[in-house]
Amino acid sequence: MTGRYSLALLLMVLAWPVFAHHNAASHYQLDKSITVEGVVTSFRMVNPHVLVYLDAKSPSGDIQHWIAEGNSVGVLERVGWKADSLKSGEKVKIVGRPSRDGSNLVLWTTITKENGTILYGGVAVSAFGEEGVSPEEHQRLEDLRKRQIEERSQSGQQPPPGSPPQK
Amino acid sequence: MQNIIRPYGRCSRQQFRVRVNHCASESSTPPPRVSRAHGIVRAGQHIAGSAILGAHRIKWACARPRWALAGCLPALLILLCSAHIAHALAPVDQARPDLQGIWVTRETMPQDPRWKIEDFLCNGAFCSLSQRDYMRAILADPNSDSASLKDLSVKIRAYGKKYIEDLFTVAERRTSQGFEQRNDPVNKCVPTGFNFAAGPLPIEIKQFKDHVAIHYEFWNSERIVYTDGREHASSHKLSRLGDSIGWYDGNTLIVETIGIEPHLTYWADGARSSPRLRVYEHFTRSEDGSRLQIEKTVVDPIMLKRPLTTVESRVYAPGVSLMEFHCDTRYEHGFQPLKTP
Repeated sequence: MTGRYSLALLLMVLAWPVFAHHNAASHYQLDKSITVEGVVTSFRMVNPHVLVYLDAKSPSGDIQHWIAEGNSVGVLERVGWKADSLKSGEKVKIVGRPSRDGSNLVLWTTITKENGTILYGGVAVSAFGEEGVSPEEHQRLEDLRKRQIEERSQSGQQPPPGSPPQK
Repeated sequence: MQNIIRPYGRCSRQQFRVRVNHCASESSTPPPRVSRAHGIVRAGQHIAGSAILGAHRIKWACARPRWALAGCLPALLILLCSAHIAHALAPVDQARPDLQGIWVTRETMPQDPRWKIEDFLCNGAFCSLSQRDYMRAILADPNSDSASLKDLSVKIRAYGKKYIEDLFTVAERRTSQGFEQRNDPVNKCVPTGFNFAAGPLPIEIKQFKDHVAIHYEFWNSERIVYTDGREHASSHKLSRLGDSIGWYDGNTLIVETIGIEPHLTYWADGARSSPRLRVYEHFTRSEDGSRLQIEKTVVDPIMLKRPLTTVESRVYAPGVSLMEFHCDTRYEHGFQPLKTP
């Protein structure tokens, strides 16, 4: 196992998920991001959340066991996941939310394989940017946004009076 | 048609739907459960039913040759006509919105072109009506045009999170203190509570003459909403999905649910509901039939200072099949031993 372990707490935000199957807010720090790189030891397509078990090497060289928690089987199968989408021994880079209590748990948003394949379908899919939303999906949203702005400009529609409500 | 539900005072229906919080302090009059329109519909049904029955009786009499020429046929014609007219006036079935079918979330069909930007920015159990208003104001503001979707998303989520947290009462804060993730019932495959009954998975709605059945793929649940005008069961034991009655108002199915057992609400760390939880749901299908909006107002005077209304959109997906949901108990073990020394 030559898995490399890296931990990056990115204070940029991303995740107030549209859906979470249990209380993701109480399990995970949704305003932080973590990256874990390691080797898959087990992959379980189970409900309520699909689980990826992996071993990662800490900065001091110790092997640490991690669990990456994803979406439910019903969601992932519908977006193309299969029981063998991940295999034991595969090297992966997992991006997600760190646990609140310091356990080696991560709520994954994307899983990147060694060959560069990125698997989507994590819980925090409402996040924009590099996590959770595929480039194609992101581009479609940017196009929609552009069209929305153009239509507003052409119609001469004025913004509602006053600033957005604060409460 | 006005003032159909007023869980927090004398709000008009429009006020209730759009600015429910402004009405919260007015009074706490219990809401009438059956609208005037509903009464008219029932009366129309009754007239139509009586007329048809009368016509059938005369038809039986007219089968006697002696009476046939003595006026039975004209009477039969008059009654049949009145039955058709009464039936036409009674909008019971014709006006009832068709909500039937399978409805899915964006997570299940992320590539579907019907999803709009709004669905990414604010949708589902965490999206309050207030947050949606805020989002729309942001999107309509030319000053936001140069901002990235990610930045807008962050801003809108932060607003929504603070809005919900400000609703919590001191009692709610007390219940959530000391909550640990390993104590979340879902770790032991205990199904999530009412406010998260549907989760991200498809639902199927079936409408019958006297009830509506809602099948949630999430946790394999089925919920019955009685629409026959009955009251809530007087001795209903608290249950996960509570006791639901509903009625139609225009193109919307309104459902009132009580008797919901306390559960984690999933809006914040350890937040819980109380046994006094009362929920009003508005199911409205879009004009083109492709979308279903579920507007859910949660009234919990113990845990929330004001009602919380959330909005969720689903799209029609007749090609999707509901799957069996089986919770695997290995999940429970997965959480336990991993804490790094």
